[in-house]
Amino acid sequence: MSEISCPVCGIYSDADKEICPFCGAQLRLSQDESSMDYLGEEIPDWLKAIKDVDNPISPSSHIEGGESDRQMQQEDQPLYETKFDREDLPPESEYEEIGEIDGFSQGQDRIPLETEPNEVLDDSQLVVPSGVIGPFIQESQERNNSYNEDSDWLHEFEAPSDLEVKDQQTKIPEDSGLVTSSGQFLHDEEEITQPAQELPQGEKLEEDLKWLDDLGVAFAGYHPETGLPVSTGKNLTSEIGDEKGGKSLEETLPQIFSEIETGNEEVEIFGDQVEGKPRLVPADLPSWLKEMRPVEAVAVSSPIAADKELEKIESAGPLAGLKGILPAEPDASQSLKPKTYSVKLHVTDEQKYQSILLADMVKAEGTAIPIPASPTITSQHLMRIGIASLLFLIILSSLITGMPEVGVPAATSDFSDVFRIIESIQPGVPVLLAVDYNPAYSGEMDFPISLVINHLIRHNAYLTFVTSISTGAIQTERLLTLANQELSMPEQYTNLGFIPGGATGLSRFAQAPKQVLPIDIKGKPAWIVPNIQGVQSISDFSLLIVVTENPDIARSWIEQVVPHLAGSPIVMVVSAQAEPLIRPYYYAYPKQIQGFISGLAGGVGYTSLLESGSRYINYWPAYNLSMLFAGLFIAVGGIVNLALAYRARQNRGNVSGK
Amino acid sequence: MSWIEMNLSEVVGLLLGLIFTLSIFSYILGDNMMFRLATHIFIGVAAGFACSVAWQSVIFPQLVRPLLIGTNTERVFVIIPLILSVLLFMKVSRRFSFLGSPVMGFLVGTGAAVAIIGAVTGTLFPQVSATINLFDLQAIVHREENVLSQLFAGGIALIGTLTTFAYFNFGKRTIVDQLPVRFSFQKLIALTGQSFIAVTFGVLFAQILSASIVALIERVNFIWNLILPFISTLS
Repeated sequence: MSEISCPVCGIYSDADKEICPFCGAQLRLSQDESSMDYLGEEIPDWLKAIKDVDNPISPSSHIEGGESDRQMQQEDQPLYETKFDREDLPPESEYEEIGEIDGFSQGQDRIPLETEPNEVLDDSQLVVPSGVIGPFIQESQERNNSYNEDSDWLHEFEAPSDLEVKDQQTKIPEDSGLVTSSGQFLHDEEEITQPAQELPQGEKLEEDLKWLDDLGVAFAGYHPETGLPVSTGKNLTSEIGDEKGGKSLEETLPQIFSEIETGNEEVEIFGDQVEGKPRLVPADLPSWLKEMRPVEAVAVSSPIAADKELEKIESAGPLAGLKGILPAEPDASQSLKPKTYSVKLHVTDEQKYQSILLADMVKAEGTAIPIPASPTITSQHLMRIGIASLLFLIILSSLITGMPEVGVPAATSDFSDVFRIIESIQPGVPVLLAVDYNPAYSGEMDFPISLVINHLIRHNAYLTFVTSISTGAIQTERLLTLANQELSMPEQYTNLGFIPGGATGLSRFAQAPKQVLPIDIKGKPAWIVPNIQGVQSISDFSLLIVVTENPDIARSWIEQVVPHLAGSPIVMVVSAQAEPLIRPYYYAYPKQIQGFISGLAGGVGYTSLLESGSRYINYWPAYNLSMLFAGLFIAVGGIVNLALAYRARQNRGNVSGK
Repeated sequence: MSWIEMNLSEVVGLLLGLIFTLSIFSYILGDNMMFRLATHIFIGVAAGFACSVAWQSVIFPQLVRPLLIGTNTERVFVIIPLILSVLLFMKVSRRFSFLGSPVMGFLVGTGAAVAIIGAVTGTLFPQVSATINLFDLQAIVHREENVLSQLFAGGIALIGTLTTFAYFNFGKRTIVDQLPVRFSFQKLIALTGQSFIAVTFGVLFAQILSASIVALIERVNFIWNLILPFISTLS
């Protein structure tokens, strides 16, 4: 035989019974009897609308068994939270005291008002034995007699409350503003035990309002907004009434209902602002409490989304078929479409113009510009060929004819000092010659150095050759070959060869020449010759002659070797291009070099001092003539350039003037 | 000396000299193959000759020969240079080039130290002293030179030296919201120094041109002497 569980007491009874034999509650309710359907067609449209909005879940859907089986249904934030937020409620200890006072055990019968704000207080949690609040109902009934007489329709509206009083159990109606704004959780089909028409309407309302007085007494010691205990001793009902301009709740409710009846939908029923009066503002939760309840914010802000989430049925996995499954991943980790930002720049016209210029420049850089085919003969080619041809003709004509006749340069102190020093050399004394000029300058350097070598040979000086450049040794051999054509004294010299190490090698050679260059260029011991056998340092040479076209090499000899000469003279035979940088060493006081011969001019002057001819003498007329023409070319070129520049400036001036 | 009196090597040398000279002169017509061929040959010959000189004048007589036929003392003394040379040779390898870095550092550091000391003691101090001594009247009298002319020359040298130094002072006066500018007297000094520098560069250019003209004369004279016998024979 099947059994049915009592929705009130939870005790199972026979399935064919309609009334619970233990508590008297109706065991079965037809499907078409919803929470407010008992009102029939007399329910106002606005109230139906409220029901539809605030009670998306059918009341019958969450009532599945007795009190022990009933679960807290999670839904949108109930309206009662706007009235009694969590902080408005007394702490746990206060409930315990209430329970003790009321004579009920804490675990079963106390009013569980400390539930989560987004939880729905179902009827099982709000059921209070009628015997406890019975006196409050009677007292409330007496105080609302006048109100009941004026509002007949309200009697019918509040009829369900009368049903809950039946069998010594009282339900807290949702429209009290304490529980919920709709009848979704109180209008349980099993709570409706009798139709409203069975009780007098005045008694229904009185009993319905009894619970308010009961709560007013229970929470008389707490402030309605802050939830903190107050010492005024006012009950909750009176405090709510104070929010409505000092009137009590018994005085305020009829006014509210009358306004609703007249269709003033802007009136907020449950303690909201009425005609500019302050509403019953929910208490501000402490921040730490808000942090602990993030669901609340989501539920309040998007109730529809939360409902949809709850209504979502899991389609796969072990939880398939269940509702309201929390997602495995937080929403934050889900991929979202990146935000799009406007890329429109705010630039000025000038910036746009400059950007266009830059873009054009970049574009032009990437564009290959075809190189125009250069003509075979240009004006530059013609000018270069013309100048070179002219120089060739001048030089050749001068070499052939020996014209013009140009006098030798006057003897100057620079090469005159060289001549004087060589004249003072004793026969057989060692003279060191550093041949440090490149073969490319042999045309200029061969002439003066050959004169000096011939001069030294005439004075029977013993020549010792060294070099600090790689080609110097072979250049020395060539130089001696040229000299030998005039003077056959090939045995009077020693070619020590190449001094490696640059300036460092020169410094070392100045201090210990035998250790740096122990053998000559032919691989024989160099210092066994009697003339140089006693040489220990560079100061033992009677004269040092440096032949170079490079001013840096000349400076290295001066800087590294001269300090070790200890009074021995040093002279130089240099190219004309090195003369400006060597001359200061000669004109210094005291002199750092004792004389020098510079290029062709110095050689010609030295020849005049030697009173001997040379095959290089015929260079002198050609040199003077070509230098004259070279000067003329430079001057003419400069004048032409000035004229061109002047004309270009005039053209720019004309263009700018236009 | 006529062609008949020359031996074969001299003749070949003269012909090669003629060919290479004409090849270099061909640059007057523009860059061409003969010019590039001649320059490449000159560079290659110079490099090869430098290597042969390094082997003949340095490596063999100062390193190899002591190791082969030298005494034990000579061999001991060349061990360290040998090790350093091998380490320096490691620079050709990318993998072991770090082994040659200390030797290279030693060479560069030693060379820089020698060059700096030489420049200071051999050029800077003596030249500063020489500039000061230009106004040494006793020295001028001792050298039996004209005092006024020497003082004038000394003054020119002093002005040129100071203004040239001042030209390289690029310090400028900073004015708010304006470009930095030089003082007027600073501009004048810098302009004077710039003039001295310009004259110096002009002299250097003239001397370089002089050396080049002489080299050209020598080459033209060489060509003329080479072809003159043929012309004489034809005539």
